[in-house]
Amino acid sequence: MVDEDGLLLEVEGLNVTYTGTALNVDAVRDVSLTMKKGECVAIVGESGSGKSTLAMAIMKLLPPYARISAKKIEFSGLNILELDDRRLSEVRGKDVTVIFQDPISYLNPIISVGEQIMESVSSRNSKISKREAYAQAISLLEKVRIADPERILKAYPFQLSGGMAQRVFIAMAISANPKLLIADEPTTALDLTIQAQILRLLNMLRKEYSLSIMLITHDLGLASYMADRVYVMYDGQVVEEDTAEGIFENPIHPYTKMLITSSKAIYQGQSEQLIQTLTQKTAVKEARDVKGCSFMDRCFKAMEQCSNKPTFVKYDGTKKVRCWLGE
Amino acid sequence: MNEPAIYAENVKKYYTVKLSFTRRAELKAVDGVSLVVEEGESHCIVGESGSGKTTISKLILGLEMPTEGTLKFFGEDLTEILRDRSKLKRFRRSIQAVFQDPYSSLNPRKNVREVLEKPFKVHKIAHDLSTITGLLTDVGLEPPEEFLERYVHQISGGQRQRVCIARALALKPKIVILDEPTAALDVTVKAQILNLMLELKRKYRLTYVIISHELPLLRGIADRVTVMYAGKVIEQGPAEIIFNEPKHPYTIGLLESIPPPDPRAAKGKSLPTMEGEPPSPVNPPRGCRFHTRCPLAQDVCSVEEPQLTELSKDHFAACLRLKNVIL
Repeated sequence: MVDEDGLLLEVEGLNVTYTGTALNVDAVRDVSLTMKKGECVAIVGESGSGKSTLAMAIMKLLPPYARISAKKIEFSGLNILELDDRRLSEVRGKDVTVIFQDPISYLNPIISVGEQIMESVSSRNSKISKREAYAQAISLLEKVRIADPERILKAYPFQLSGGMAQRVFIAMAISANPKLLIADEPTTALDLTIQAQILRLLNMLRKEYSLSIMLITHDLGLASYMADRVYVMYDGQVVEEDTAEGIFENPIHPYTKMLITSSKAIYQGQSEQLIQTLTQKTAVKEARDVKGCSFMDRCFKAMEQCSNKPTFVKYDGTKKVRCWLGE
Repeated sequence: MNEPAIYAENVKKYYTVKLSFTRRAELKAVDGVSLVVEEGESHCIVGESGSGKTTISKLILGLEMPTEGTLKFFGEDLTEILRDRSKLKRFRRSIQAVFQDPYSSLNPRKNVREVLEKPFKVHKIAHDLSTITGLLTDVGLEPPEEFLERYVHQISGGQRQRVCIARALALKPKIVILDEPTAALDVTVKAQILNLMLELKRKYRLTYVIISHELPLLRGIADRVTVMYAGKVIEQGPAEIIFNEPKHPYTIGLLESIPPPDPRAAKGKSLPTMEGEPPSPVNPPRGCRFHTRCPLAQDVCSVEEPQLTELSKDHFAACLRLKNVIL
């Protein structure tokens, strides 16, 4: 069973299709993923690669026009696919919580921060008195290193800076002692010094609560800092999966290589070397060619075989890759 | 000696803000900034939200008038330029801007060809289709015919930013202001745009003023760096010195605050401990404006305001430690 071998989450063959009147978009295609307890897994990829959709699909947190199908979604011993809405919403707020890129827009603008935190505290424990809820809210804010919790509790979301709002959001997310925290680009909108603060906070909470974190990001620096394992997504599919070290030190898929080379080149300032490694193709995005590998038109190693779909195969001990080069 | 492209001396920009119905306060967005941008150089202005970096870019573009101080372009005073219509028109041609969000800076009802024709029409300059296709080729949108009739929503974020750059270059400006030109882009696209900027700078002999909050990522493109904090310059100098031997604790912290894209180096990396948030420009701290967050601050820092001191040729920093006031 899932619990015994330390697995927290197991997803197999997940597909998500956004249905529309004109066309359907396959946002996530045949994704399988596992997470162990206490692990931090990063899902990296560019905008539109399906990384957020993937994370939300796991808890079926998608709009009605998204069609989710999967062979298996098992979280902490529960079969998510078969849970009814009532059970599911219990799991969502309690065992799995989410933090987003722009927390301010996820907070209610006309209710004070304190009331919102107290609401999230008492929603899980209806017997709790107002005074107890207030005390808990204070201690939660202290846990996310807010220096003057009383003042913040009285404030309204528009009075918070981005970093402060993210802390409030994290406080609400950890209030239920979740097993899994999904962090969807948690620092993208923040200044660098504030980003560093939030990263340190997440790392600390991870240890303190033995929290499992699913980090969704396009920033390979964040993935390096936080993640034990990394899934690289491109065009709705996982194209490479490995330990963080394996991904960065021995990337096989040309897309992974391209991501890493670009990040390193920017980080180290080797602007002159950038051009050699990148295909400068900026082809107008046409409807997806479903026949071959979807990275083919940007790939600098594309070959004849690539007009056939590559499968996701085991490359070595920990690595799996979806590319003919990995066969 | 040639006149510098941009010369700013003790430039201040104060706004009046309403605190309540009767109370007004002065918001010192830029509070005494001096900088010199030589022709052909990339001058990066770096700082967090509220540091005044965007206000500086507005002042340089002539969109805002400084409250105090001198601004000269190739030796000509801004106030004189603004007084004379023909001079103003020439000035507007010679200085162009590219902004962070290419989506909102392009008109959704115009296609790429119309967008690029507009500057020629405004300035009544002869042009034909080959001028436009030439611009598209220069910014790497090839084949240009593919893009001419496309609307903004039909092209990707990176391509939109290329169109914005092409529009800025249409009238062969001397100076281009780039306000967070890559902040909204994915990492591979970011690398491509940085690279394109370098290429075009050589080809068009441009002078760049790059506004950004991500200091570490400017290593490859900066010639000179000005670091701003709460409306003041705290460090300024040649890029190699700023990146390799920064002296101000804030600059040092900024450079350390991005984890490198390499798990072995990033894991366990101690991110800098700058607690708190940038101060409000309405009510900046007394003494050194950074002392509230500085890991090295001492009592004297909250009393005495440090002045910019020349440490080596062209390298300035404002910190009491550097003046031997304290160790």
